[in-house]
Amino acid sequence: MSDLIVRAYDVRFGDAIFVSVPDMENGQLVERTILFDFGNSLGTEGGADAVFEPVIDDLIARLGGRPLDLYVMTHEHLDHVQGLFFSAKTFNKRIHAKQAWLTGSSDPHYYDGNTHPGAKKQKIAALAAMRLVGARLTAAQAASPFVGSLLAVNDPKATADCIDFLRTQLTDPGGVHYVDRTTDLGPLWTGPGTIELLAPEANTADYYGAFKGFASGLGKLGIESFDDLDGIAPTSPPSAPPSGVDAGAFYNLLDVRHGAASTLLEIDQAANNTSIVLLLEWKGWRLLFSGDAEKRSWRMMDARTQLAPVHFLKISHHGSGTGLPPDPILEKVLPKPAAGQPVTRRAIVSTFPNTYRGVPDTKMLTSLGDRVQVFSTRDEPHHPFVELRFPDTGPG
Amino acid sequence: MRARLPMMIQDPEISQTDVGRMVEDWIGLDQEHYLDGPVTPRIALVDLDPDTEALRPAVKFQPPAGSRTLGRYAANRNAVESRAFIAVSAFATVWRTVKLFEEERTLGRTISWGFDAPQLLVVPQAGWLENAYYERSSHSLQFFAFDAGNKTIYTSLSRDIVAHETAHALIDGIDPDLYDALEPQALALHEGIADLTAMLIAFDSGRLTHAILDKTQGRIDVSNAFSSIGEQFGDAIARGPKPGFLRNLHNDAKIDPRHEEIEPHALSQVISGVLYELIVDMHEHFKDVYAPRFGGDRLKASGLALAVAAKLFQRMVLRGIDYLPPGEVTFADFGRAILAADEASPGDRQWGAKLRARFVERRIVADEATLDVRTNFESPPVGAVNLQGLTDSEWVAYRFADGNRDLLGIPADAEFEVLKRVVVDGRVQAPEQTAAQMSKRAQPPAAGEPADGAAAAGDTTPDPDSGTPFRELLFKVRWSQVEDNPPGFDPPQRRVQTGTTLVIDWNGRQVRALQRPINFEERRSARDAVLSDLVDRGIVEICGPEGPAHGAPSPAGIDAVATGGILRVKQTARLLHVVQELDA
Repeated sequence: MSDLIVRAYDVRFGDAIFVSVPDMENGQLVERTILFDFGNSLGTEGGADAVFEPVIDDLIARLGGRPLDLYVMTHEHLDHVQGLFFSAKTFNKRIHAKQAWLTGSSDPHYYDGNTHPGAKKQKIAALAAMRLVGARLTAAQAASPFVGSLLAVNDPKATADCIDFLRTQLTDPGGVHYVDRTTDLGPLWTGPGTIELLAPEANTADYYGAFKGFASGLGKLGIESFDDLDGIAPTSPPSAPPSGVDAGAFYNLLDVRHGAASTLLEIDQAANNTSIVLLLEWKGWRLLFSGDAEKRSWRMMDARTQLAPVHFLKISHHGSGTGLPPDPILEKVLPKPAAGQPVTRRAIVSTFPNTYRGVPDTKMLTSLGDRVQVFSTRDEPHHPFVELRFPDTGPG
Repeated sequence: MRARLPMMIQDPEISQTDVGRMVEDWIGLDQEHYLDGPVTPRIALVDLDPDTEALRPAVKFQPPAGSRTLGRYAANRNAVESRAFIAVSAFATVWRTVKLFEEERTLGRTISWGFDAPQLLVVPQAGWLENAYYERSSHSLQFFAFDAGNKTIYTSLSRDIVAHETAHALIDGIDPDLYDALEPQALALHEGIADLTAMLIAFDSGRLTHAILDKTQGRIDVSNAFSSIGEQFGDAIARGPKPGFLRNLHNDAKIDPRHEEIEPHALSQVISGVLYELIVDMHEHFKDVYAPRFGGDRLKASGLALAVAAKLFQRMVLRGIDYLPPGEVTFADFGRAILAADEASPGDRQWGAKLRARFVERRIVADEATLDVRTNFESPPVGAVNLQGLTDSEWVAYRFADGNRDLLGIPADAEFEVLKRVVVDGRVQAPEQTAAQMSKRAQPPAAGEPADGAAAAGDTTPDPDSGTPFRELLFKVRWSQVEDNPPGFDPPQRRVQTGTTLVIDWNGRQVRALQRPINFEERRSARDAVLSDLVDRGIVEICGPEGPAHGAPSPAGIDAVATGGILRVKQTARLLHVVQELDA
């Protein structure tokens, strides 16, 4: 008997989820390996980089010199992409992969031409807003370390280096695939089991909500190219209000208009919602890896796919309230057992306290207890990972 | 000192195609100071550069000089997209809307802003977005611009949009609870009244009125530039065929009791639609009344009829906001408030009957009796109280409320709050009196009239001797109730606001009206639906008293704070900021 194994490393505030799927090859039992993300946040204790070394050591040992069968970068956030780049650069330790699946929107050509005009417009607006509010956000770090974490996770330059590493050094050029829900996975995954992508949508414009931050409206008219963003400088407040205007009200107006932190939060949520959400089915087990998908993505998955109960869920976004599906969708994915029946479904949350305010949402995680057993990378703080097994006899 | 202020007649497209000219003048009323900006004590332009946020130079004020008796701002009326003209036109439109609410024959007082400060800030080019909004927290109206094809749309150049957003600010000053409501119809009311205000400001332009009535053969019971709100904006943001409006007041939207709409913009069409029908009824009636003056020609009478109907409608509808009870209210409550305000005043009663019938047709209420209100009745405690003391003294006010809990419907164990008392010094004009005043404006402009002639000023302030003056005291008391959230919701309960409005006839010492919401308990499920929707869509994040997660405000700026297992949601009116989801 051999088990499918899900191992969630303790990388503090980040994800590194290793999956081993038993397979037969030439009559021999072998394993197919998948790694979902590897990274953590910067800026606080939750982003300590020292935690990467034991994880890369364990991965190297676990693989025994073989390449990963598949690496999945769920989305372009530092707490999901930093680890492999950092390990190679700092410890000179690296692994290789036969394939790397990256989000469709991380394709360097994604915004070329007129393929995704809405997404391009939104992305440029988001980047412009990031620059425009940059000065205020940096100043705000002193008042709130959580803003620092948000800034670090969303830092496009730092993230770009890490993603470049995944594109160019993790696998052969032919092994990099930019995927979305519409990608034909047939040629890419031939087993064991089946893989289905529930998200993201090809057009990431769908992940930007109705509430654009005030600052996102401050972008220069006519910016249609990423290159033009360089012309934007962080703004600074005027020195004095107009004559006859109350100074307190004037400066308050500027502060509210910038809405710097809320703008950044919107950008953060939009990127989370581009997460690859992958359903792995094997021997009757259904395992759902949801990256950092937030409610907007869950609603779109519900509208565009047939969501059904799963036996395992990688809880989104480190256990935040916004990463949990809305109740009706949660009931589809993790239905409560009938009265008197035991809770058999399982979930893992990879998280660390005091990095994002209110994350993990311990109250919310506790409330999940009546529908799923929740395991956390923080259950045993000195243990390098939490591991769940799924026997090949199926769920029964 | 008075000033001549140029302002857009409508948005640039309508002005050009339907009116043939862009700009009309409005004579701003006496102010002690006009400062560069424009800046006055109550309204101040803050002209921020949309790209750099630097404060741009104020538009210079030129005081009266020589034979020129009116002050003016240095804005070129032939360059409507110039920074200076945009600023002055936005300022004038905001002010004109404020005066429309505050007229003696309407609300009869200076309205305090909802943010407890004297000055409303107006940002005419706030940035580049397909949006415009009033925002309580920044004391401001913000008008954005955006590119559409080969042109730039400035929302601050749309008379509709500026009047609409100013109305939100005014409504927030009159009934701040609407801004924090969970009741979907309360939020829709904010939006619907703002749309109707845009229509009223359009009626306030003699030039526009004549141009549109010419085009519609004197009818407003067809879709037209009055019933269409935000024409240029609506066309510019349309992803498909151009609808010709953002919203259309000439509609047949009804309440669907099986699946009630909770999106406030969509739901608002029910209330704006039913009230638009009322003004159509009024217009048709006054065309009949005034046709004999025009040789029996109803088309020629249509301008005067519309001017009179608009002023009557304006008084009925806007005074309804004054009579609303505090807290969560519905369209039915608003209907009752309109009727109470109307029936408490002298005048004919035919419009109340029409309104009742229309409310039933739109399924806002099941029957006309639901809208019945009691007006002008004696109440011993009201007769005995010192009204000046009740107005000025918190102690007297609280003692009165506490001693009259039964009258005011305050639960025995409820902690309550008496809101700042409001004294209305109004004037009721008979239609004939309004007609006498409006008839000059209602004439088509004379040939050869100068482009910026004073005849286009549109200052329709009533003659001080016209109509019957009255004084009334608005006494409002508010308390909160705890009710259950939907099953399984965390936290399990929430706090919602409700209350009573007592209107006292100052001179007669009678109760003019006593207004409570009529179906507050039954509407809990509607409030449930809004709350669930806000949470499910990620628009609000419920947090504890320590503040929201991530160290950032809720993405939409709507507060949802749980304290001791009880949720309080505020600033839900920020939902109204959103015109539509981009690329949705």
